[in-house]
Amino acid sequence: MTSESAAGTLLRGVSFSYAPSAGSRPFRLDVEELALRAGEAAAVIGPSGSGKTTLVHLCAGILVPSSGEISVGGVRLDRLTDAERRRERARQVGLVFQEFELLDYLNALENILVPLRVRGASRGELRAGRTRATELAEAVGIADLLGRTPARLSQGERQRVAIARALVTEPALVLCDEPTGNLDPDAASGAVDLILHEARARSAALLMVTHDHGLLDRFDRVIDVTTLAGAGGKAR
Amino acid sequence: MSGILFLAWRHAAAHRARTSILIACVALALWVPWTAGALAGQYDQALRARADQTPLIIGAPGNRYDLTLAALYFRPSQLETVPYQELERLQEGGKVTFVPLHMRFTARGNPIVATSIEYVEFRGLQPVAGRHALRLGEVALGAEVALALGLRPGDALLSDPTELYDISRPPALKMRVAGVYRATGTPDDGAVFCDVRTAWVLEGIAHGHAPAEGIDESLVLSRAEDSVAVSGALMEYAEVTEENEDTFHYHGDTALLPLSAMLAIPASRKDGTLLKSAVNAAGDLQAVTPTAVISDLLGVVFRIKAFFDLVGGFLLGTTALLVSVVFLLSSRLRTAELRTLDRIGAPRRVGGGLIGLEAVLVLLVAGALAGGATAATLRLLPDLVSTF
Repeated sequence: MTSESAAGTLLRGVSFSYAPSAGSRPFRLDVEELALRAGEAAAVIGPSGSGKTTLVHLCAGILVPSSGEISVGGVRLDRLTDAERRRERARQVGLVFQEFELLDYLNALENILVPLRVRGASRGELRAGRTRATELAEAVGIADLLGRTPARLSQGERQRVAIARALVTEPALVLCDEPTGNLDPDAASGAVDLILHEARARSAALLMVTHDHGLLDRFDRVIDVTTLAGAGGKAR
Repeated sequence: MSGILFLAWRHAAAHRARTSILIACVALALWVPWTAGALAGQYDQALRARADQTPLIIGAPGNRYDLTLAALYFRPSQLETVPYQELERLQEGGKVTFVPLHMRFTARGNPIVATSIEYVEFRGLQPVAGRHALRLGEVALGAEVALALGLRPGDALLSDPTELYDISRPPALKMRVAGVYRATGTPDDGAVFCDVRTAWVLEGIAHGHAPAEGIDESLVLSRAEDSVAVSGALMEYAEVTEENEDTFHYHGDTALLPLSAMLAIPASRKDGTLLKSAVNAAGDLQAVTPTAVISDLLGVVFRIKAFFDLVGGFLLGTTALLVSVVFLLSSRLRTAELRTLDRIGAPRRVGGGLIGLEAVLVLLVAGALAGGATAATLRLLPDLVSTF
């Protein structure tokens, strides 16, 4: 393992394929090597169906490769059991989804704390998490909205809650799957800046799938998923 | 687990209407069989306890259930009477104590139990105020009667009129309250006790006389040398007082004065068996063992209860199936939420855990509500058991 991957993320010699079902084409994603340093931000681009979301899911440990090595924060996800991978994901990985996927029956503060709840955090961890959540809410500009449920938040406010939820565990890796897909261009630009700022401020590696090529110059690197099989990440 | 429990709780709390309906359905489905079971258990215990304490009941031939229920629980019934001389005849054997019972009358809806001091001793009734009713025209009240009517020693209680057109008996007897008994949790709490002679006054078999001075002449029916007969309209009620007590006397054969039943308290089991055999062999009276009669009666009651248990079981089963359908549909509606939790890193069975815990929460709250409602029902309906 490289010194870079000890604190960041590394995929090496990874191969993943879906078993073909009737009427569908087989899918295969190979990654020769992809390394992200702590605090580094990379955008993932590629045509639809090229494997961007699959790459995100492999990095999160949601999907398991048929071969190869995946490390996040120095932990080899590919060697863990399903239960261990889930625990590591809740601890080391923050996720922001395109639909934000907040729980409608929880208020904003409770939504931010969900990653701590699902991993069975102790009272002390929850107390510390609550403090961090409040700070994060202040940082992303929703400090006065913490008592509201998602139904009473605007689209932009919901996304800020989702960003705070992804960062509350102080993860080594933040994964965003088209988080600006549902926002207008101005809001999308502001959201990307916010995610980049907060991830960098916490020295978290950031991997963001995006179709918005106008935002790519804000990232440290741009990775074309179609080139991962042979050439590694395509550096700008 | 605590995190999943929190999410289950918040989901249930956020969907108040759905959760409340589920809780109400389950609570109702539990309350019905629990209450029926608890009431049946209490009936069983209360009925058996009273029956077990009473060795033998003797009365006129007829329905043994009526005789037992009347003698033990003072249930209104049309028992054939037994002449008092039968008690005196049986008592000649000497090995059994006989307690007379007369229960034809009521006072403000409460049964008047006319008996002797042996009944009070046998049932262990203790005055909490005043004393036993020993004199003619006196009553001692069961605890519930005293509480319900707000009566204390020294107050008066009127008997309920039974036959308005029978001018041979007073429309009512004004009785003095001599004492109030301590609560026993038995049918004795709901009774008015008096000496058996007072019942015969109520029957019109015994009466007294009052001075004839100052009577409204329009109410005089006839005048003789030493007496005046007046209309029944003169007297709203009769009363035994210190002045007229000595004038009370019986008309007819005192040996035929009526009793409703007798309690027989033998010195030994053998004496009881011999008495029962002798009485039943003679045929003019019947002797019954209350425990056996109540067991027969409860056999019928519990066959009916078994049917209700079955109905309750079906009700519970149907409710369980409906609740399962609601949770199954709920799990489908929550597919997106469960996928999100799964991707964030929740344990593999988080969906089952969330829905299972929510179901457990619903069951716990419904169980607590049903338990509380059952306790409240039993508390609000004590008379069903204590007075049968």
